[in-house]
Amino acid sequence: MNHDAVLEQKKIMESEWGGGKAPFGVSWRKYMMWIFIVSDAFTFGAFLAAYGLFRVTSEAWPNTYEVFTAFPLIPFEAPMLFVAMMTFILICSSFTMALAVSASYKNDRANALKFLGLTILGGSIFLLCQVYEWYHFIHDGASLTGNPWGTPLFSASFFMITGFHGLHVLSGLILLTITALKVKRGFYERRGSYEGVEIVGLYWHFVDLVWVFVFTFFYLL
Amino acid sequence: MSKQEHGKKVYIKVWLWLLAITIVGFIVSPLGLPGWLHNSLIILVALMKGGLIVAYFMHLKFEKISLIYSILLPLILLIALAVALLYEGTTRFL
Amino acid sequence: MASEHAVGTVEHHKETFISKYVFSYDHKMIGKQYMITALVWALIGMALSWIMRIQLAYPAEQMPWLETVLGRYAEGGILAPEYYLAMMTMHGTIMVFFVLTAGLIGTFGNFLIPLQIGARDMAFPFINMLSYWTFFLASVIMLLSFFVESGPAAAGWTVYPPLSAIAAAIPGSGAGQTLWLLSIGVFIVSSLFGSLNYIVTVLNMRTKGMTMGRMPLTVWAIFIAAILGLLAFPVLLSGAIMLLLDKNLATSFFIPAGLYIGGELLSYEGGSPILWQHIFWFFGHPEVYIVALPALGICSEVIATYARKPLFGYKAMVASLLAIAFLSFIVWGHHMFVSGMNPFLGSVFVLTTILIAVPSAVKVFNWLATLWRGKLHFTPAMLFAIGLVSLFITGGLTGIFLGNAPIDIQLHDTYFVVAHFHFVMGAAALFGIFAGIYHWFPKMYGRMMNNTMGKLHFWLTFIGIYLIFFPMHFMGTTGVPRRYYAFTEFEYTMQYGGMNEFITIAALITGAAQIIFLINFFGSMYLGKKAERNPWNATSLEWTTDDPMPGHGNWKGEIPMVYRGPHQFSTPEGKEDYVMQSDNTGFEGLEREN
Repeated sequence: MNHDAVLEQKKIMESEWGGGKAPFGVSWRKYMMWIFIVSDAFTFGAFLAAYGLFRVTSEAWPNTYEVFTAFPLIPFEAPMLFVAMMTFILICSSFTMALAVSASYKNDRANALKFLGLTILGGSIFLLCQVYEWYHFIHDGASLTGNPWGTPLFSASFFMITGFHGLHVLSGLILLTITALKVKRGFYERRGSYEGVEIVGLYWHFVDLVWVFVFTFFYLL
Repeated sequence: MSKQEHGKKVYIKVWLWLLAITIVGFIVSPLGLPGWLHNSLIILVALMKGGLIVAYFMHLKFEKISLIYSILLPLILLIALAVALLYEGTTRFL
Repeated sequence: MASEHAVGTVEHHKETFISKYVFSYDHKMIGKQYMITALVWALIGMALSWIMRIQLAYPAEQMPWLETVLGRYAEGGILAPEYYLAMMTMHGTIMVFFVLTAGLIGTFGNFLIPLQIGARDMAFPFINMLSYWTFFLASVIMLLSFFVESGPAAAGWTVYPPLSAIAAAIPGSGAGQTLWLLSIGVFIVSSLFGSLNYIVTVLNMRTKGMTMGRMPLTVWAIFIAAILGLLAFPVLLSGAIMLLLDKNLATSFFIPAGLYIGGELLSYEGGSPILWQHIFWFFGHPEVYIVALPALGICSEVIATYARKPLFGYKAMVASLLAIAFLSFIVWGHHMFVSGMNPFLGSVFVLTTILIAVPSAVKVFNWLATLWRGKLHFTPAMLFAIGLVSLFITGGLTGIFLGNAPIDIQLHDTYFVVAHFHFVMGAAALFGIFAGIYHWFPKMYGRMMNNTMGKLHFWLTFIGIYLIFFPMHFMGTTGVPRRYYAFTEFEYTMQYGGMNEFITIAALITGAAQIIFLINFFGSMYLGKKAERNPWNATSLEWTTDDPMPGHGNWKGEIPMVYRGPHQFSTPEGKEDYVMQSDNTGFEGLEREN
C-alpha cells in the first residue's frame, strides 16, 4: 500500500463528509425537519400554483378588497384590515418563538417557557381569527361550491388553502404545547440539549412563512 | 451543532423590519399603481419577508453553505411548476 | 460528534414476538415486511392482469369459472366492461405504488442502507416502523375498495378527472375512487416517512471512512430516489386533496363547466381537467424514476460483483443518476402532448425529455463496459441484472420515439405505450427486485436460494416478457388503442385476434413461472443451504457482519471502518480477487489514531 493512499485516508477521516460526522454540521433531527419543510413547501406550492392557474383562467375573479372587509366590533368596512392583523399576530408569534429558542439555548428555562407560552397564545389567537374569518365568509354566502362575488373557484380555493394552512397551525400548536410541557418538566435539560425546541421552532416559522405567501397571493394580489 | 449565537437585539430588529414591510405591502394596494408595478411590489415585499424569516428566525443564514443549497435549490422545481401552469393558463384555450 | 453516531445502538432487551416481527424497529425486519407485503400485492396485480388478458384473448366467450372467481364482476361468465376498466386501474395502481415503489425502495432502502453504509439502524427507527404500518394501512384501504358496492376505481391509474371525479360517469368513480384517493394519501405519508429516514441516514449515519464517493451504487440510487419521493409525492397529495373535494364536496377544481351526464347539465363551473394532468405528471414522471433508480443501482452493484470487475465509471454512474433525477422533474409535459398544449411548451418538454437519453445511455454503456472481458458468474442475480440491461435498452429506445411530440401524437394511447412502459418501468424494475432478492437473500435469511430454480425462473420470465410485450409494439404502430375492453368492433383491430391470444398464453405461462420463484423463495427460507458470511465474495459492508443473518444492531462488535471504494474486484492488491471496503491492509495503525 502506498503512502498516498494512507494520506488520503487520513484526510478523509478528518473531513466533514468522511463518515461518522454530520456533514451539514446539524444533527439528523434538525436536518430531517428541514427536508420535511421542503417537502411540505411542495404541497403548498402545488396548491398555490393551481390557484395561480385558476386566477389566470377565470374571467371573473372577485376583488378581495371588496370581499374581506369585516372587522369585529367595527361598524364600517375596513378592507383587509383583519387579515393584516392576523398576519401581524403570526409574525409576532414567530418572533416570540425565536426568543424562546434563544432563551432555551442559554438554559434559561423560565424565559423559554414564557416565550413558548406567548407563541402558543399568538397561534391560538390566529386560529380564532381564522374561525371568525371563515364564519364571516360563510355567513356572506360563500361555500365550497359557490359565492356571491364571482367564480366558485374563488371560495373553493380560499377554503382549501387557508384550511390546509389552518391545519398546519393547529398541529403546530399541539407540537408547541408538547414542547412547552417537556421544557417545564426539564426533559431537554436532562438530555443536555435544547435542540427539540429549535426543531419545533423551525416548523412554526415555516407555518408563518407559508402564511406570508398565502396572504400575498390570495389576499393582496 | 449550531448555536443561536445572536440574542434578542437581532430578533427585535428583524421583527421591526417585518412589521414595516408588512405595512408597506398593506398600503401599496390602495395607491392605484399600474398593475405590473403593484404586483411586483407586492411580490417583492413577500420575498423580503420570507427571506427575513428564513434567514434569521429559521437561522438558515448561519448554517453551512451546503445545507443552504440543499434546502433552497429544490425550490427551483416548484417555480418550474408554477411557471408552466401560469403559461398554460394564459396560452391554452380552456 | 461521537454521541451523534451512537444514536440507535442496540439496547439488549428481551424481544417479544410483537416487537420482533410485528412492530419491529429493526430496519432489516421492516425491509422484509415491505418485501412480503409487496410480494402479496404482486400476486394480486398479476391475477388482475390475467383476467384482463383472458378477456382480450377471448372476448364475449362465456367462461362460467370466471363468475365463480369474480362473482358479480363477471355475471354470466363474461367480465363486464366497467369491471375490465376497474381491473386495469387496479393493476396499474397496485403495480406502480404497492409493488414497484414499496417493493423496491421500501425493501432495499430499509434493508440495505444501514448495512451498506455501516450504521446500526436507521436514524429514526420509530418513524421507520410507522412508515411500514402506514403503508399497510394504505394497502388495507386499497384492498377494501374491491368490496364496495360499485367496485374499485376504474378511471385508470392516472385517475384523470372528470371521469374519476363524477360518480355518475362510471361505477368505479363512486366509493371505489374515494377509497383509492384515501389510500394513496396514506401511502404518500408512508413514503414521506421513508424518504426522510433514508436521506438523513445516508447523510449523517455513515461509518468512519465511508465518504459519499465510497457508497455502493445501490445506496446512491436509493438516496436519490428518496429525494425524488420527498419532492414529488407532496404534489400528488395536493392533487389528491383537490380531487377528493371535487368528488365528495362538489367543488370544481378539475371539472369544467358545461358537462352533461345522461342529458343533465352538471353544476360544476370553471375548473380545469388539464390542471390535474399537470399536477399528476409533475409527480408521475419522477415517480417512474423513484421506481427505476433503485433497480438501476442494484443492477450496477450486482453486475460489478458477478463480473468480478470494478464498476466502470463509478463517478459517471452517480452523475447520471443525479442528471436523470433532475431532468425527471422537468419532463412531465411529455405525457400530455395530445392535450392541446401550446406547441412551444411542448417543444420545451421534447427537448428535456430527449436529454434524458444521454444519462441513460451513459448507464447502459457503463454496464456493458463493466461486463466487457469480465469473469462472468451467471448466478440468478447476475442473469436478472443483465436481463434488466436488455429490457432497459428495449424500453429506452421506444422512449425516444414517445418523447418526440410529432411521433407521440400518432402513438399516444396505443399499445406502443403499453409496451414501452412495461419494458422500461414495469419489467426492468421487477428484474431489479429479483436481482436484489437473489443477491441479498443469504443476508436476509441466512440461507442460500436454489441456483437451478433461479436460472429456470429467469429464463422463463425473460423470454416470457419479450413474448408478451414485444408484439404490442406492432399493434401500437397500427393504432390499436390501449385500455379497450375488446377489439371486436373495428377491422384493423380484429386482425390482431390471434396475436392477443398469443400474448395471453404467454402471459399465463410467464405468470405461472413465478410459482418457481415462490417455491424457491419460501422453500429456501427453511430448507436452503446455510449461507456463509460472504457467499458471493462481495466487497460492501453488509457482508462483514458477524452472523450471516445479522441481528438487531447489525455488528456485534464495533462497526467496521472503511478504507476504500466499493466494487473493488480483481484489483492488483490483495490475495483474493476482491478487496472488502473494510479491509485495512496497508492502513494498519490508522485506526488507533482515531
